[in-house]
Amino acid sequence: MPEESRSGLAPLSRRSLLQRVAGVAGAATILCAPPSLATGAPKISQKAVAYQDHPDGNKRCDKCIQFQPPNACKIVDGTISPQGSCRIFAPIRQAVSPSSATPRLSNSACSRMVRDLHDV
Amino acid sequence: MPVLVGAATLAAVLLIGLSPRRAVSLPLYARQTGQPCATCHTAFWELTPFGRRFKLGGYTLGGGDWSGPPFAVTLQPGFTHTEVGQPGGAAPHFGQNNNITVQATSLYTGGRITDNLGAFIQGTYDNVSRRFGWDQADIRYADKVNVGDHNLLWGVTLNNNPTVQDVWNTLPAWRFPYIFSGLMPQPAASPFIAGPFAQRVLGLGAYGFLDDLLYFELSGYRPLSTNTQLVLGVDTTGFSPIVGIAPYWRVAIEPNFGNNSLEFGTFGLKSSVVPMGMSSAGNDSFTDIGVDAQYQYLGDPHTVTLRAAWIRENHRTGASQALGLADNSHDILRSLNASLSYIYDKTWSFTAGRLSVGGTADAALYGTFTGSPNSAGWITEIAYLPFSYGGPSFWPWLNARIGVQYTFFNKFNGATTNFNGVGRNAHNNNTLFVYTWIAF
Repeated sequence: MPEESRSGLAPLSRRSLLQRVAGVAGAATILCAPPSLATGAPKISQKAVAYQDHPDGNKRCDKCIQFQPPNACKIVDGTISPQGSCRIFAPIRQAVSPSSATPRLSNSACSRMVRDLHDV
Repeated sequence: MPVLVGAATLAAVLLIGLSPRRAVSLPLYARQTGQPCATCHTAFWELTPFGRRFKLGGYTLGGGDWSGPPFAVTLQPGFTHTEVGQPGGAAPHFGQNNNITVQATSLYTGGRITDNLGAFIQGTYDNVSRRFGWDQADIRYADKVNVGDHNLLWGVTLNNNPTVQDVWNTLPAWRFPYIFSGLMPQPAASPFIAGPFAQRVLGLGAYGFLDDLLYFELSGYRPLSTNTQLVLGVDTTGFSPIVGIAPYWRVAIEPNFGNNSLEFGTFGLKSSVVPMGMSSAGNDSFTDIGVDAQYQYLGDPHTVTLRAAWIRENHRTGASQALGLADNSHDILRSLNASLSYIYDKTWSFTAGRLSVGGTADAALYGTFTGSPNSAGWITEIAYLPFSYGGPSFWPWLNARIGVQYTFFNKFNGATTNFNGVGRNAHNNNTLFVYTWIAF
């Protein structure tokens, strides 16, 4: 008995293969489209991130990469004080020359990575 | 030799993480949101309150500036040792004991498709069964509406496994252990809601999350045809297809206060099924009803999580009895899964868990020597997540979980000793699993 049958693996006919390829290609067409940067996605409630309207040490919303001046956040719902803070604080990094970054990344991703490298 | 290979794997992962960098979890979502691992996970896969809402919001939330394709990959190399080797091999192509393998390689895609439409889609090559197929899949549409003074996050989910859409780490699809050896001996019995339908059905459901507090969901599942399952790489052996539509329900309440997050809930699945696909004697039916609770303390640097779920299955097996597939016309099965984790600084995770399943004896149904479905044991695990505060310089989105897990069986398939009639004891199945779970 062939190993494939003993292990319960389905034989892969040409038709099955074509169906799989078509399915994967279709999914890739939909999912590989660059994601829009629209703001309509449901944001997270303030309670879920333990938002408070005062700083937590050096953690202040206006020092967070997600802060949108004057008083909003890309991912947390509602009015956000620049002096506020929450559990998911992610500090703004200082931008530096991207020359040290891998060329495989896009410019924006590269910039982010470089900022990340200088965070710690 | 196995110890050397395991040590080499561990050393390699440690070496590439020489300098701390930005943290990630499932990297395609980290890239989409611009947030580190710890935003959505206490220690992956366990979700934080933020992670739960990211999922309920349809995986659509942005915040990052990644413009590349939404893909991620995970690998699970591991070493499995059972107290006594498994006669005939731990699985086809594997030795009786001390096996090393990359047990699963998964490709993920999904994330935001539109502002309100998103997905989690996983395809896996299972190196134990030597099979590639679709794994977990969950496609959602979600939006928020205000109704008077109330806020409702509502959505629709299309998924392929009852409980895969759930957001608490108590229900079967995402409960502890988040990773276990595919070569470990597994108890014969489990409720229908805990796996038998995974990847073999398609479910459509609607859910709401009212005032960030009350979650409710109603879904219906239909079986995929045998041909569709084969095309998707699913093993159809032993499948008992759903008759009609199987309703799945879920109600939970999640109060959050300060660094504390509580959850209490109930869930269930009910259906008629064609036993092993043989319809000549009619249908069986089952009703699974469960209750669950979770508590999280989300401090810095200390995190504690307590999870528990209990399921009772009422199984009418008249058709199976007529076909000789069951001894009884009615069986009861109960399942308990409870665990406690302490996580230090998002980096070290210590977990102890209790697993048990029990019910009425039915040798034909469960295929055990004793006739009993009863199994029970403990799982302990220490995991190190070296990149919770950053991946290596060449790929900041690299993430890894390196763990040592030990499963201790008190009882296996109905007995403590000689559970299989040829002298194997429950503790002979005790399993040491050393793994590295890599995501990038």
